[in-house]
Amino acid sequence: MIMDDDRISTEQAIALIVNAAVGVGILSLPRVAVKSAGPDCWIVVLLGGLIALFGALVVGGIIKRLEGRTFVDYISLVFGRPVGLILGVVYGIYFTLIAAVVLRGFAEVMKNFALEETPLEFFVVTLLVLSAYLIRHGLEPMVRLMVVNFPFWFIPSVAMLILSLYNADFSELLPFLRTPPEKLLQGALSSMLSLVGFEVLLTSAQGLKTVKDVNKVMVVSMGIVTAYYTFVVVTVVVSMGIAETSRTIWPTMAVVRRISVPGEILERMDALAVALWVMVVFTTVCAYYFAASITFTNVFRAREFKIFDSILFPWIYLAAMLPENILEVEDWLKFAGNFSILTCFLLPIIILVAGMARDKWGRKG
Amino acid sequence: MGIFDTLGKRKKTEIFFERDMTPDKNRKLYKDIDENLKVFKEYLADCDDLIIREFVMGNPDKTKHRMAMINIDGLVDKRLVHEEIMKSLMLHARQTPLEHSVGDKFLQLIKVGLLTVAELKETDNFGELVLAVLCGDTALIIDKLDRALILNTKGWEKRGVEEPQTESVIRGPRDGFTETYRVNVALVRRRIKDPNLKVKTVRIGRHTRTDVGVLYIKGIANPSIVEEVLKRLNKVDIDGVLESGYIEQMIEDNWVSFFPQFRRTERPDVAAAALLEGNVLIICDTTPFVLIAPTTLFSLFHSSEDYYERWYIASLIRLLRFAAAALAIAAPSFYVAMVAYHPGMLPTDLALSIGATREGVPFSTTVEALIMMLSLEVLREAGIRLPGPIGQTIGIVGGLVVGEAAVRAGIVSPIMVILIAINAISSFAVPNFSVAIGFRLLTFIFLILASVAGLYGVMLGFLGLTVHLVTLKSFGVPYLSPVISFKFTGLRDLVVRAPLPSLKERPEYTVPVDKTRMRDSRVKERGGGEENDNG
Repeated sequence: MIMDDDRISTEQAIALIVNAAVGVGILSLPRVAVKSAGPDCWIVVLLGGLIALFGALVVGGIIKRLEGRTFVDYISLVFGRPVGLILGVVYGIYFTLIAAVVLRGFAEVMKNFALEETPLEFFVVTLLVLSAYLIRHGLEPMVRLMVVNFPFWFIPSVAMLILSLYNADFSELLPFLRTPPEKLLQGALSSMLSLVGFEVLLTSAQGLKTVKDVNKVMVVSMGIVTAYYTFVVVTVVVSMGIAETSRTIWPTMAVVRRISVPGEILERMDALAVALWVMVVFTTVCAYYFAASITFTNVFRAREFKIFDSILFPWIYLAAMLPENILEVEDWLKFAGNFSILTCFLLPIIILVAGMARDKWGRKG
Repeated sequence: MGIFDTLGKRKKTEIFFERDMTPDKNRKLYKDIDENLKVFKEYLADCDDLIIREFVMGNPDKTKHRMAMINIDGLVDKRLVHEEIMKSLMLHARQTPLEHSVGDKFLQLIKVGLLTVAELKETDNFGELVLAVLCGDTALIIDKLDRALILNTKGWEKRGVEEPQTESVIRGPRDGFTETYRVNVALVRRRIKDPNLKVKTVRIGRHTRTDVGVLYIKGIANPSIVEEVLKRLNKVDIDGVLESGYIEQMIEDNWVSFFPQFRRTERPDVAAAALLEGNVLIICDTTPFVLIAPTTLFSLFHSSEDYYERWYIASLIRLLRFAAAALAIAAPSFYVAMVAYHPGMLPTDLALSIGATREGVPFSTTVEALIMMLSLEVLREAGIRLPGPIGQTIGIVGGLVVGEAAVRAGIVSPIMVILIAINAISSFAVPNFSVAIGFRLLTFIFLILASVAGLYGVMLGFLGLTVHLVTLKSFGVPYLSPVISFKFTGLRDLVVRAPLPSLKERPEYTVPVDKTRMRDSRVKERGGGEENDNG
């Protein structure tokens, strides 16, 4: 009626990308960064942010060329219908996979830190049901939830990490820049995988109110994400040390466990931190779940995306439950990471270049 | 057909229901008074409260103008009928030279020159006439004339304007709405003396024929919201409307939600403030509760006093309310989650003392909390229903004696008693009772979630709650506005209340036509005020 056009403003788009990007990475990124670059871990994250920003701007370039078309329609226009459909399906599978992997990673953490005896399926199903219910209502309510929830996880998480600085040792970040450049780059690539999330905007681009501001959206959101992750990595490393960080699966949780609250209200914060972290995961899952449903809807040119909301539900669940143990989960995470290099960088670059070429020479024929 | 089918259908039907409240509008009046009276008696057969008074106008010896006056006993102001109608027509008319033929001129003379009633109108059909009589007007039927007069003589026994019972304030006006529609509209009009304050009345209820008024300020309220309210009101087809709660539930957006999609108030100042913010009022006859639409979650936490007090105090009180709301929803569930699932989170000393007090309590913390919460709900309900002094006694007996005895008997632990007491008190710190009662329900749901999955359950509850709230709308306005985007303009009057001179714009959620609320007129220094008067 009044605001019911299901379109999002520039600020809301920023919220969407930030929430899609910040997810399971909070817990594992410090380890990834430290493993590849030791004391230069924060440079690795910053570099990763730069690379991600490049990908984001490419995606922004594509979004500017959509001109009201869906992403799948645009690829079909550039490469022809069959290729367009195949690429659409690839993106759909990618989004589904990421949603599943994030869910599984979340369930593992929950089992480890909060409720040891609860089966993994419980966590996966409860969160999946909630997100399925939310995305049925469309893009705008989903983004609204991300905006509403943002202060609830952002402020406490920053506060907790600041509290953990009571025994910080900043000399852990020395020596400065002793890592060989190729190792830095390699680390940047692997840490970048925690920073992606901008690709969900590709499929939701139709819901953008102001497409011309898309570069601003990308820059601001990637800036927020990179700054936040750098902060996380630095606080974790300085309060726990290089050696320990590289040996812990979820170093951030280990740091939070050690916090003592001023005033002795709570003795340990880990359960609380995990509970807050659920919000972060939830928004990420929603963003990818929504992107997957929209992509498949566009591929099959269905009128109602709610059908794919229901169709995808069992598949995400199955994909999330597929790995047998935590090691396989790690393998899946790696696979999903490599997949995201394809979908966030290689394919967008190809599509953008092809689209530009088509604009320049294609119309003559 | 189940409940879901019926409710589902209501949303789908687009047909405007012809809600013609007047029976037999096509049935015209006769010229003969006896025949008219016969029809009238048919309509209102077996209505013993009907009064029909036949009389002759002016001097009974000279003229033969038969008339009849019809009204309902108890609904009319007797003094008005005696002094202004009967006296005028029977006594004062003797001094007026009367026409012998009854016709338009004669009617005009009565209307303009004789009847000293403030409001009257003419009608030519029975439908309107009967309805008017039932509404408390007096019908005047004249022989040899196929038209009748409707004289406004409404005046039944009614409660005066008193201090509202449910929304008491320390600072602020003391008058409250009453059960009479016109009085309520007047109370608002008295505050907003603006021709742009519009009042549109619809009649709802096939049998009750209740007046329902829609008030808004043209030029501030968004026309599409006004239209939507009127459209939804016109769709309502129900046998009776006894309270604005009927209207509320018939036209709200989401009937599943725990959250009211209207703000309701007993205070004219709150209603006027809402109008000035661009809201639409729905005033329903026979109830002092006025509905305000659209509504957001945050506006339910605001009280009129917030704007009368200085802003520090107002902001602090508002923050307190939000904190109380959080306690009201989550306190028991948090406690249960920590004690049952994450005892490691508690400081050791506290954990030990909780353990010591729980010694000998046979139930789990969840059951303990449920026992206490349920008995508290029963106490609250009993306290409301019983007459004043006994209600207080119940509070003391229930709260102190039973609570103490339960702890002594080892059914509940003392910490639980403290917790539930704080929880209950917090829930009543929320100014709006319908929200508070919704929170009580949520407390139970959160408690069960916490007992199933600890803090994760609480978080699931929180997420579910926010998911529900972001999808909820009140007349097309998002329920959580203005917290829907990363824009911070709306935050000045939300959780805190910024100084009044800085609230230059109306809140966004009503999508007002005219956004500006005030110009910069603050007196910067002493004596600076005169300049503003000139400019």
